[in-house]
Amino acid sequence: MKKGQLWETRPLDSWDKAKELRAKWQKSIESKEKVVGQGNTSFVVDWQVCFPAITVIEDNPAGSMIAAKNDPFARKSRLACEIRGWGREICGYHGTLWGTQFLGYQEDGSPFPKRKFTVPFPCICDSHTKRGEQCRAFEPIPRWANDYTCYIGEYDEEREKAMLEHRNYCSLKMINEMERVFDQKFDDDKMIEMIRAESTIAQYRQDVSYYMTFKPAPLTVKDIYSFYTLGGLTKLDPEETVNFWKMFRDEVKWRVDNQIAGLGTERYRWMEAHPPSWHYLKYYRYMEQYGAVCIGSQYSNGTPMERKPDGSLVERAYPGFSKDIALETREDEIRYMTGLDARAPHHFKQDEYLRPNALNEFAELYQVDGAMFGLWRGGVGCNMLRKEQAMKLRLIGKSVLFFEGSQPGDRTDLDEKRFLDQLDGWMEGQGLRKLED
Amino acid sequence: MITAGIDVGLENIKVVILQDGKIIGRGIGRTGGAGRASAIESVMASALQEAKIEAGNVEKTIATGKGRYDAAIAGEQYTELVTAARAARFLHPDADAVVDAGADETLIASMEKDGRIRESTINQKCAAGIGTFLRNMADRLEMSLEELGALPPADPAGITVSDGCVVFGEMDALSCLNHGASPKEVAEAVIESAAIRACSVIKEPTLPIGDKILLVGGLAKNAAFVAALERQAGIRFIIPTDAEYAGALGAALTAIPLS
Amino acid sequence: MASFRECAAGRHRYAEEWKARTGGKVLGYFDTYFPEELAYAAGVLPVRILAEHEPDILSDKWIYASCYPAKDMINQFLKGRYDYLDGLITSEGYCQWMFHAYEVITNNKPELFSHYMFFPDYTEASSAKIALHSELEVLKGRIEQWTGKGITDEALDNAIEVYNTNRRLLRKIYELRRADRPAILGAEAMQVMLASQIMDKAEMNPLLAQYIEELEDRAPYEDRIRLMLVGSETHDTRLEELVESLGGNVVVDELDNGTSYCWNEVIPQKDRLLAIALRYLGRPHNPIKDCNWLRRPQHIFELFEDFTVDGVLVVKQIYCAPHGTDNYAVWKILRERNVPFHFFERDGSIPVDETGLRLEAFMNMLRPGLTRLAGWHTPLSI
Repeated sequence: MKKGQLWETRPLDSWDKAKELRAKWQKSIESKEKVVGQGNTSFVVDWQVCFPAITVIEDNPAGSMIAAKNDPFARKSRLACEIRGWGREICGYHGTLWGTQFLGYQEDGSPFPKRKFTVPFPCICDSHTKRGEQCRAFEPIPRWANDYTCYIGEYDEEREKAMLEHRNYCSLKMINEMERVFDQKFDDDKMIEMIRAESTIAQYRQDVSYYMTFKPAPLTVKDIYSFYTLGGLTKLDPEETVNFWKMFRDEVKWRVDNQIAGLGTERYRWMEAHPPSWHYLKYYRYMEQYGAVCIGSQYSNGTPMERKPDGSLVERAYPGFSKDIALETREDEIRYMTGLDARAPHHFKQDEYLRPNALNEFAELYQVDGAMFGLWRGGVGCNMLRKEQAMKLRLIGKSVLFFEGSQPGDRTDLDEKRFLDQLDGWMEGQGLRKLED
Repeated sequence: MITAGIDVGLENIKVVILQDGKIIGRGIGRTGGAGRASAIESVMASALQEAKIEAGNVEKTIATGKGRYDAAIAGEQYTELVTAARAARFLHPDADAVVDAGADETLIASMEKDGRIRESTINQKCAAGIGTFLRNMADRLEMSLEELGALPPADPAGITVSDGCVVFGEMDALSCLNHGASPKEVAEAVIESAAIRACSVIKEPTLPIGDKILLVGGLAKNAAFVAALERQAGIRFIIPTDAEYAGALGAALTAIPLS
Repeated sequence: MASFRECAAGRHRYAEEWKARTGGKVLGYFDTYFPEELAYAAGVLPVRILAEHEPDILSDKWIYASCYPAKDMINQFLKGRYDYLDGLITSEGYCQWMFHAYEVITNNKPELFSHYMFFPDYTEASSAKIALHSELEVLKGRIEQWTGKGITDEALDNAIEVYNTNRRLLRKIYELRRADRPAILGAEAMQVMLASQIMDKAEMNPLLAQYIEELEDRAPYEDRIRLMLVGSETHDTRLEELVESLGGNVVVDELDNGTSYCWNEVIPQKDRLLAIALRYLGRPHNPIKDCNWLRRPQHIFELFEDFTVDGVLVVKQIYCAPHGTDNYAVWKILRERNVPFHFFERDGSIPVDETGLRLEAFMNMLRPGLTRLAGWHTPLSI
């Protein structure tokens, strides 16, 4: 038994099936004929796959993959942006990716796939709001803007109406216009199938998130990040993906019932908020040397529970996915995707995420001892209210550590040595030492 | 029991040797660059000499500070946070918090009555390197560090330099010099801006802190900086004798096994 | 002029005195997308939240790596400089730093009336006016509830007229600056602009009309290099003053607190809220609201031409992501059209040496080719 081991642990059985699904998906996109565009695919369901030959590349994963795979090339990319006027405070996802456009070639030397259209989705954060601009300023291409609507405070039915209409109009126009410009038929039947699959998967995902509240945590955040892209596999075979998620959910539940831990030495639980530094996930393992497990964040886990006015925590409902609502026309699909809350999925301005106490509820629900937050020099959305939320956490006795970096997809400003030093200080300050010592 | 603590800071190495809870030897010396390992040995040797003991008499040695892993003679390493808090409690058993302000780092740790750390904050990068900045500015203004530390408070109506970070501060300071400000005026403004930066760390804790706050680290010796910091933070610090040895003292204390 | 300059410099005093004098409520707003007409029609004084340059030990606790204006606004609120405010509004018009500042301040000052107004980012969508109209109705209702009295059509008409008059007068100052040798320099003009975002416009308008009359009789300044200021807005006139000390003059700007604030009017129609919505949707946009059609670069070029500008200063606040991302499109059009420009970043303070050197070098570069210097102003004797 490993030193300090407190719980039984074992690998997930679902891994093999997950890898198989992932490989099938990878093969399917490689063979697809493409009109490559810029945009946001995770608009509840991945609408792009309903076009026979359109591929949307998202800036976030593309940019962070470059930074993770090839630091010198990522720096070269960012420099290419900087000499064209971008500041170092621009979100690394975009800086790195659009720098590659300016260079004209990708990390492996192949030509940069020029975008043939752009669908800007504003508002997640300022850099994201502007992200549809770079490929269009580079050369004239069609664009269809969408809009994220937002307000803060309590749900307000009156305000919702016009906002939802605005969003529905923008989305519907986008799909109709894309059909016309690229002479491609949008497969509405597939879209409906995907929406139905997504509504089931959403429930399974929520269950998995809820199981993470138990001690010991059945998984670690590393597992969650490995799986959280899987919901998007509906694009290949919705039914198979639903089955997979059921299997995964059942396995995690079994682990909870039998106290099988993601980390066998779990003796300290900590949380995050928003994305990790994708190029430096090592810190999760570093913390595990102290028996400290990261149980996730609102970003990775969502908010499976909500606080009712009487103070009770109950499972959150997804009103937009009610099975009773008609789902027949394209407009129905769009309305489904938009949902019934004009503020969703506006994570960085949603009241749910912005309330000073928002993280306290998460911390209590997930039984954490502490929280670690990135302060991102180029991630204005990622930093929103974080310092204030940290104060609220401290007031309920949770220890909070801040570390600095450029942005989750950019390694420029993350001083790895200093970061690990800070982790040591944080753990030692709470009386913990590395288990190997 | 004889224990030793080594604090390998950015500018200086400090060593404290304890025998049964009493300081019997100390040493201090420049950290140096590539020769850090030999500098540590040399400072340790002078502390041993003062303690009039052999290296073999030291039962346990703990290193702290930024360069703690360079001290090959140390059996264990602890972070500055822990050693500063440990020293603060030793020096002042009623201390509510400790502020450690050095060449590179500024930190604050508030403590529970039993000595455990309640809340702590270490500076972010924009408040890094304050001590080194003051040393560099003293050189540039052709003053000794002692002369800089003896300056009177800045004139509130006088010149100011950016308190964004030390680089912005230095840029403004040079600009002021070029426009005819005297080195003394510039130095006073520089100290004020450094104090504002350090203050951003000291003001960070959320939970209330009592009024017994120790100031340790190399900057505790700089009277002008301390005065500016006290004015900005609205805190009257307790400054122990030999405040710059606090890290090393904390390390030597940590080496004593808990009974 | 003295009153405008004093108002801009001692910006809190005016609102404090106004409040004492009228007993009315004062509403702070963060960005120029806030439809002030609605508040004004309710008898409320809208006051722009502007940054200062004070030593700041407070804001770091609440916000990280922010642009200095957002940090300073938090600093000022926590120090009590804005204690005279009764309410605070953000209208989604600016960056997230400002939104962050709004959140921190309203969390610290729960006693303030506060409201978040959604303003579409896709301003050209035909559904945007419906969404904004709805938001204006919500805002109107909130203000009515807060002040305890209804906003009548007559009051709205009056507010629209007062604001349109103010816009026309401010724009006239810009028109006067189009002269080959204007009688007003950039710093003075910007002080008037800043004052207009603080003062009760019904009080300001007659003063402004009189000021413009005096301006028209004023002797023109000597020949100066004509510059245009583009980029993140600034809440002081230090940069303009530095330009002037080096023999230049900022004759026009493309700033949210400059031309963009007064460039278009509300075209009155029966549906007052729609009229107001269309004015704000159709104004010259800042980068956050110009992410769809990229009209801003062309607008900058048109101002450059109209004001016979010699060179453009593109100045960005450090940590200003919207302007950082817009630079590419702006620089591209300026380069394509052979417009001389110089870019630099600024923080709360401007390092005088470094900035002065940049400006001097840029102006030296512009000077030899200036056609105006070869008798451009000589009256034609035809």
